[in-house]
Amino acid sequence: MVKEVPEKKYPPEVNYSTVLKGMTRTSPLDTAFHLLMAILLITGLIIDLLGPWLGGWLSSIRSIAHGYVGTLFVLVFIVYLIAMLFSKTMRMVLTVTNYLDFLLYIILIITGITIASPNKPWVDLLPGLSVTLSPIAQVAPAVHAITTYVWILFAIIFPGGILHGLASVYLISYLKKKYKTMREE
Amino acid sequence: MKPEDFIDNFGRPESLWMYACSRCGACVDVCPVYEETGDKYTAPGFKIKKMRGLLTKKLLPFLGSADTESVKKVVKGLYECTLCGRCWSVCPYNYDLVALWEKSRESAYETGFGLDPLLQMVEALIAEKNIFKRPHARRTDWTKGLKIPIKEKADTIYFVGCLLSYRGPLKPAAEATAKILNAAGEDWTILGDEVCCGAPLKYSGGTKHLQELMETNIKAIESTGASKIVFSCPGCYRTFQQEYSKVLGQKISLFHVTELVDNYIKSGKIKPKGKLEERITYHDPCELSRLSGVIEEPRRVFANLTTGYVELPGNKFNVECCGGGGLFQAVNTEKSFDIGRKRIDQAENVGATTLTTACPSCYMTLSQAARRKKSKVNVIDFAEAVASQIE
Repeated sequence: MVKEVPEKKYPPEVNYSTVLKGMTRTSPLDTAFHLLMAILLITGLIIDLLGPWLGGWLSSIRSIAHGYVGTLFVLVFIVYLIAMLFSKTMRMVLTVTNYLDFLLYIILIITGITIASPNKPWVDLLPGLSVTLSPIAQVAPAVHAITTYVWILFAIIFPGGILHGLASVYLISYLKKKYKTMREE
Repeated sequence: MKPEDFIDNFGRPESLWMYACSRCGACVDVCPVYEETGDKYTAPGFKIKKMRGLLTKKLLPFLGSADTESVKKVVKGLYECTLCGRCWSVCPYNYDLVALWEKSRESAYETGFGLDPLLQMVEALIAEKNIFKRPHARRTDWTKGLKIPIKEKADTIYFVGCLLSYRGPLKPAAEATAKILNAAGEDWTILGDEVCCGAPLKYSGGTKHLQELMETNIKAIESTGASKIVFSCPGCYRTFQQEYSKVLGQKISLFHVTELVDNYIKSGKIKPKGKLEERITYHDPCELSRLSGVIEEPRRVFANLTTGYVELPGNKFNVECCGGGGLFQAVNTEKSFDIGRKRIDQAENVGATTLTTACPSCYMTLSQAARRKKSKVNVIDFAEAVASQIE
């Protein structure tokens, strides 16, 4: 069975819009994974670094932009891991760095749920959850923040998430400019 | 030949490419060479992963240093590629992976990691200005006994290319193109001093020698005062579009023979004798369809030649490679024909009696694959199919 993709022009035009369209078309799962991760990183940093200055906004950012988006990320991440387990090609292109990234995501997810769980309705729906998470309830906020910074450092030094993001931003900007110059010529 | 030199030779964009790859694996799923060989080192995403590894080791020396064997494995994988661009077509980021492979090969060649058959080819190009190391003086020998003009001035140049000039089985294709140009009443010529366009240099990595070939061709082209160049080979056509047009500018129009015939039929310059009922199919050359956007032109021509035209699966922009591109045949002949054989199978399955293509490299691969398979499918060049149908 031939994989059909819509016709596009060569040499390719690359800009943020074409990349987003291409990602969405090729893998909505991949797009959701990357997008949600970016939102969580930005909102997480805002909460941690700008918290004292946010006033009334802090609660909304924490519970909605970070909390509910985080819940969505957990669901997407589970599907992403299952897809990875069943895809030989994905496993072929992923590296040790990616797997270590996943490990750090799992720590962030567990501590994130622990922080968000007290007095939340899902605790009543899942009675075992609070018991399971109670031993780490005290340290969860600190572990969550520290793991985030460890991940940022790790993902900058090794070819992980942040380096991938920065490289993409630079390359897309470079290619966008190059294509524009080429068209003008 | 130091392993780190291979990476040092990459530019900043190419290096960042390795890190920007989203590791989705879409390119691996569609690569015709990986599908055939099953060797991870031929899979596009895996090659990027390995090159990224080499680069990371250079940036972070505490991770260990790159060794020669690893680089050789990566380089072999880089050359075991048909440069068909299927990986680019599915890349969600739309990165120009064909350019990345060409740049990587250039880096391998420059740092002494180039593969032997291709190094010999570059030597042949430097010495005799053709990929077969045949004497340059015999480039126009194919015209003997034929009415092929070699004029000082003409409006149209037929750029024949190395394969059609030196390969006997392709002589009918060159003759057919001449017949088409004559039928259309063109004031045309071939170049007395034509040399290789330089496309094989880009495929092999020896791009630094391109300038010399270009200068010879440009000098010969400009002396004719031509306003139009027609090509049988999509490789030559694309090299002219990418490289020569920077020098030639807008004053000379470039046409692949499929585009020209389409124009001739539209304008009534040539008239097909009538429509055959033969079941003809067409294999899109990757460089012509996917990488140059010439897709509908040959189909419009076939609509005028036959009522029995059938499409192959994996066609147009999503064409499946025949295995003959990117000098892959010189590196792994057997696997190249194995890929070609699949295309012949597909032609048989759609019930075609004739398989046409508009690329000398595809023609050579498909015709040999058909012969090896003892297939009844007749492989001919696009120009032959047209020439047999015009007055």
